[in-house]
Amino acid sequence: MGQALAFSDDPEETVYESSAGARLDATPLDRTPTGAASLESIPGLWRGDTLARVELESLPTGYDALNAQLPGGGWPLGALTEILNDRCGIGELRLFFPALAALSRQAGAPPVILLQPPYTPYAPAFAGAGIAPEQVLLLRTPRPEDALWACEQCLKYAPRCALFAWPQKLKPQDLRRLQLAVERRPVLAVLMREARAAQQSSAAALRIALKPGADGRQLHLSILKRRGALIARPVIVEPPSPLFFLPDHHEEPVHALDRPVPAATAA
Amino acid sequence: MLWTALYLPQLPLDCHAQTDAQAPFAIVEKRRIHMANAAARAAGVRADLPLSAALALEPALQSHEREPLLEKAALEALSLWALQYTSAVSLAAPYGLLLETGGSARLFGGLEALLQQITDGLAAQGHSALLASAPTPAGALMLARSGYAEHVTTLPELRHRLPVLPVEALQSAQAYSATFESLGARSVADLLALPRDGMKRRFGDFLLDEIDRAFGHVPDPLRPVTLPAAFSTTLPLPAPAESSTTIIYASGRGLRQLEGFLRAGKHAVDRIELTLHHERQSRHDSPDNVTPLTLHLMQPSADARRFILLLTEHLNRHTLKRRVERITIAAPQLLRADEITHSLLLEEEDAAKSMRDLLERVHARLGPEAVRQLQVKAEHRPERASGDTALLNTSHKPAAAIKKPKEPLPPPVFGPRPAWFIDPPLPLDAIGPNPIYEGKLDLQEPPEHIESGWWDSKPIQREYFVARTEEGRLLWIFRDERRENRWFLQGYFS
Repeated sequence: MGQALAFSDDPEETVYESSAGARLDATPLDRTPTGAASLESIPGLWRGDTLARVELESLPTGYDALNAQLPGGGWPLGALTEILNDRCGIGELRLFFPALAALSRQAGAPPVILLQPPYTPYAPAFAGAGIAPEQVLLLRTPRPEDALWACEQCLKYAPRCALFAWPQKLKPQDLRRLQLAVERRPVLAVLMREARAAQQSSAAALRIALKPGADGRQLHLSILKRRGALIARPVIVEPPSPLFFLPDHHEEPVHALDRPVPAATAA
Repeated sequence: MLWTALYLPQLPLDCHAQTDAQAPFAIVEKRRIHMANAAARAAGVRADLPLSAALALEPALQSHEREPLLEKAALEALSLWALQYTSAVSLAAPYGLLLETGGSARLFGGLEALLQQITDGLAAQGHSALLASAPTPAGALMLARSGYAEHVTTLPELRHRLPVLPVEALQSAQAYSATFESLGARSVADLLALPRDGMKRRFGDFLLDEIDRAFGHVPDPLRPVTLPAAFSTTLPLPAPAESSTTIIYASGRGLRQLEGFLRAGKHAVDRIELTLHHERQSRHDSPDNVTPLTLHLMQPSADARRFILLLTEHLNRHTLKRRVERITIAAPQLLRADEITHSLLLEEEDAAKSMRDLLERVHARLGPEAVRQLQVKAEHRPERASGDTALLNTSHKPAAAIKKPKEPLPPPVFGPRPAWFIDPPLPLDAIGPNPIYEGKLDLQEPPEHIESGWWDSKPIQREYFVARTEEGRLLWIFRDERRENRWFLQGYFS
């Protein structure tokens, strides 16, 4: 979060600093003005179609379309987020790069912890995305059963940070335990899990299944669970991409015949 | 007790906040050069040279009349700043400060780490100092004054060390240098060889007393610096300035002093008052031609970086109507840090502490290699451009290692790089010249050609492509020109 500033042109000039981490109030989904006005006048009535007005801190995702669908307006802090995906390389991590780059610019440089990642994290990629490599901590546990312990420790005790974990097997009670550990902590906790985990119930506050767009640029996010009403349509975002020149799959060549016919000129 | 002496021989020069070290600058006393900076010395400007002669050597020389009061104020400001490192700070006028570091070194991760912090802090304020430590304050000063950056921790060692120092190491010897020369006394040992009562008659009590205090024969009561109730400092600019960079630079120095002052007293501020004193353009200008400027912080803080950021933001949007010759920084109201709930001051300390505790636990259970920190390396070969080091070895204080780099990250110099790296690379199948991975691959043209390492045993010659699978996965693959143009998978753009 940048420190937005404003100043007045008083003779005695004054600079104000914005408070970092200002809470973003949850936004209603589709506030259709028709017929709902009478309901809104009733105090204390919670409407099912609004996102939960949770007093949650969040980390803006960097995608407006996604922020609008998340309670708190960003990746939740102090709650588990599950990313369900089997296809490595569709942008499952790039999805978080805008938020992590913003985190990297914050005072105190909160660390980004990678717990048991499936491959070796490559420092130039993080640096290129604006995430200071010094901030990225790689945590590997020699025994797999230690991973869960380490995950819980980080969620419970780490200062403001982002944790990405690739847990091998998670039972529902493990998830509950982790969710309990992270509650009210200023921690972004992302569990990267395989797609079939969607069948399993989960204590995570946010569950998102990923599907790649065929062009390799877009990512389709199906929000399976969030604090608030469900949405059926996937949210489409475009994470930072290494593709610059590759044309889209479905871009058909424009044939001469398809072009609009120039208006015939009167002879 | 261990005393660290900070000797600032360049104080007359350094107390002027110079932005451009390349600009020749000198302090003048009675129309003669008193002290010149490196740029001026390079042009041949020496101490004692008449100013006119110096200007003939270096026409661009900026000069300023020596102001002993300013030097005194700068030394006092530094003494307040130094209170963040120890509760016992004393002035050793004219150019010295004494810090009791034996007690506080442990809090800063050892004497070496503490001294490094002090040196860095001084450098950030544009001061160059010689640091020396000894069990007696006068002894530490003698070491520093004679240019030995040594840290002697025991009294016998110090007593062994002091006699070889030149007589100039003694503050009270400055007035008698001619006499010493006629006596043939060059080192402290030469003085010690003289009869004591003769010395006393000739030089008074001061010289013998200083020697006795240095050797630890008599106690050396020092008057400790105490924190005043409010902070105020004045920073003169070497030359009137209108660029915001110069003003930010000079103010940064004062704001860092303020940080030291606040941390020493466990205070924070939510309001800082800056006053820019403008140059008088004519005799009729009122002398108090100033621009007042108040920095408001939403949360009380003691962090100079935040103050500087705030000031920078402000000045960058502003053009100054007149040139500034002096800046005053004042913090009229101090807030006690322990009374501030959720202050950033505490939050940052808490964060560092909880991170340290966490890492300690993780290391204790999973071994010292468990937590590693990523590192970019200056190498063209992809296999060597990235690394990680065990966090435990990179620094004695793990939490301090997770620091933001001072500079913003440079943009990637090369092409795209994948977040997941595969080493050794996996061979890919190919149909004819086209690589295959779960079907046909789309390759992004042009490829990035990497050819490097011809000077050692692992040369590479490769064409790297970003490749898209039919499913939309992005891979980093290469064609190895040294291995019959075979294809390999090197990473995933996860």
